Amino acid sequence: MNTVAIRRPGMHAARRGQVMRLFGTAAGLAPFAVFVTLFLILPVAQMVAGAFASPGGGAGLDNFRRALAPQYLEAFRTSVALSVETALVGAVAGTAVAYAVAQGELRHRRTLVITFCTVTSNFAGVPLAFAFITTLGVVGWVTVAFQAVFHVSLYNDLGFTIYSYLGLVLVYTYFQLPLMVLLAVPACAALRREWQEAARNLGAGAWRFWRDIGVPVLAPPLIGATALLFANAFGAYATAYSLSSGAINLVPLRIGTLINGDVSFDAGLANALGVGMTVVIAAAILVYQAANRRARRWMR
Amino acid sequence: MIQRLVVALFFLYLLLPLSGILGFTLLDGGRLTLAHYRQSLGDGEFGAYMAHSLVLAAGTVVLGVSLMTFTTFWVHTRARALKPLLELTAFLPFVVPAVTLALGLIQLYSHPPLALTGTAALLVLAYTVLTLPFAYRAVENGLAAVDSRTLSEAAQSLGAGWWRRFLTVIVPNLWPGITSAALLGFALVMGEFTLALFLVGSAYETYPLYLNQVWRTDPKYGAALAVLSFLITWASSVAILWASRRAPGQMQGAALR
Amino acid sequence: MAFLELEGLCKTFGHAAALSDVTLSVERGELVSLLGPSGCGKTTTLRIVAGFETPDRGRVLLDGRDLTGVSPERRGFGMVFQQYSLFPNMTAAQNIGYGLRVARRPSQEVRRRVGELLELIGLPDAGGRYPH
Repeated sequence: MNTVAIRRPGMHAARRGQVMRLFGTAAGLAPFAVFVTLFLILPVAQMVAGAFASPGGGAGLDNFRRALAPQYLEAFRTSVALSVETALVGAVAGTAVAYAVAQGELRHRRTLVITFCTVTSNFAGVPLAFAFITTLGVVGWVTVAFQAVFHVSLYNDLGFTIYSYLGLVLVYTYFQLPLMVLLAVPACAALRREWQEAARNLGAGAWRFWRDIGVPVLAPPLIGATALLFANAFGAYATAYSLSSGAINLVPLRIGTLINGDVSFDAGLANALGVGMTVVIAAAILVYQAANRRARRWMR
Repeated sequence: MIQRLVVALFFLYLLLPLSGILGFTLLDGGRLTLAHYRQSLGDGEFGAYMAHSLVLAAGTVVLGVSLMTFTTFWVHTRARALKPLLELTAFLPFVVPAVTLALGLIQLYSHPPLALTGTAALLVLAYTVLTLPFAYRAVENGLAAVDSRTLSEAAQSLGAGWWRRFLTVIVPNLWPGITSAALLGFALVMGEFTLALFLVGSAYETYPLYLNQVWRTDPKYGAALAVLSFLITWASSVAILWASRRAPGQMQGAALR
Repeated sequence: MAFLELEGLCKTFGHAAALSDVTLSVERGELVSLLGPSGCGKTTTLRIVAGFETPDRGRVLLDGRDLTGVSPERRGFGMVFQQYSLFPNMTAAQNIGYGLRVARRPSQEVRRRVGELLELIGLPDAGGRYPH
């Protein structure tokens, strides 16, 4: 009996302390929670809700049905093609550079290449578009020099223009390449020389080593990096905006026109396209995450 | 040999466009000139819009870095169970491209009670969202590297309260990471185009919007402003590398395309 | 003639001489330890025997046959690395059995041998785990 009588007030105090503590912990998290809710969660929720809202009120798939119109399907196709192509070109060339720098002949230049890539991977958007126009535009110096040397005009004879799909491929590749190098150098550097030696010691030749160890070890981080490049290109807006002036049919540009234009303003349709775009990017990011979770076990 | 060739071509590809824009802005009729760069000195609009961007950058860096540093340490010391949730949340902005973030924000904040579109405040808040992933990484890496728990407990055993530990023990130890996160945020805001275009446009014109606008009427001057933008990016990137040499862990810039 | 003969091995890395005139005979079945302070050339000697380094001068003879120029995977030496160098993409069992698989031993034999060895080191249940 006595023990109970003594313990009761203590328990109250303990429980009150616990509640106070919980309250204090929650209070510390409040600024972040409120901020993220208002400016990240709610905007995305608004987009999703708006996409599923019917123009006449209530829920419906009207916006998605309209988003399946040929010109929007075409936009998705073009965006996916552009992102896949530039991600693959970036991945292959970037891996080659990263391997040379991490394992190959240019190991002594690693810092230089990484510094260079850190800087150039941040060159993007409008200024980058201008740089390409002044180089490969109608009066860009490469265009002019090409004509002078080969007596063939890139524009008039070969039908090239920087304001085309091919032009976008060239410009996107510019920011994909250094990003891939930055992602692939740690992956290539994690391929330890002792693994190669241990494999050879057990009788495996070079080909056998790559098949059994080299490729399986490099594949996860490199696939993950390629998925990230895809997402990177798929979401890009500024570069495409200043290069295509609306002539190329890409999803981000479509959304931009739908929310910025006076005549074409159509938030419902923009929301549906935005949901589609987010789903594609989320899928790519999931691939990146899954591949990286595997690679992180041996990459430090 | 092949490896050297690949790396040489890589450098060539990345330097070629820069040669174009430098030549375009520095040469006039075959003569070297700085006139197109000097033009910015007498341009009041340039000064005003550059000031806008600097104000936005300062606001974003202060808000983003302090919010993330405080919250991450709070979770580390008082709510460890929530760490995965914080990590996930801080990663989310990667999944939401700028156009879609703009799309959601416009619909939410164009009308009362929160009519924020066209204000610098909304742009700062949106930019802060973009800084979350790398600000989180910087702080998290820093906390893991300095063994924040032991440090914090040592300070606690000496009688230091939470705020005192946070400000006098943790923040100084995270400083290199915080510096690189701040520089990344700065570079991001100075070059961001998409959110600025949709959320404020001409109501609070920023430097990237201005150089795009100038390009249409005076390409040489617009290109010179673009070179200046490259220089800002270059300087911040070098500063980031310099800061993160002293910061633990590796960090990748999230550039805006 | 001994089973393994090292004759006058010399190796320098840049300006640092790692080995100068190392000669050693090992009989079949003999157990030999190389002792010495770090940096005295123990590892370099073993790496030359295994074929990962080429000596500047001298020869390695196995059963009277000159091994200079024979690639490591064809020498058939066992070597335990200083860092264990476990392949990160393989389980413990796959790591153990890799040499036998490379040597194209029947999979049944590989499985049996791996089982025996895991039993021997007292980790019969760890075969499916990864090294990290």
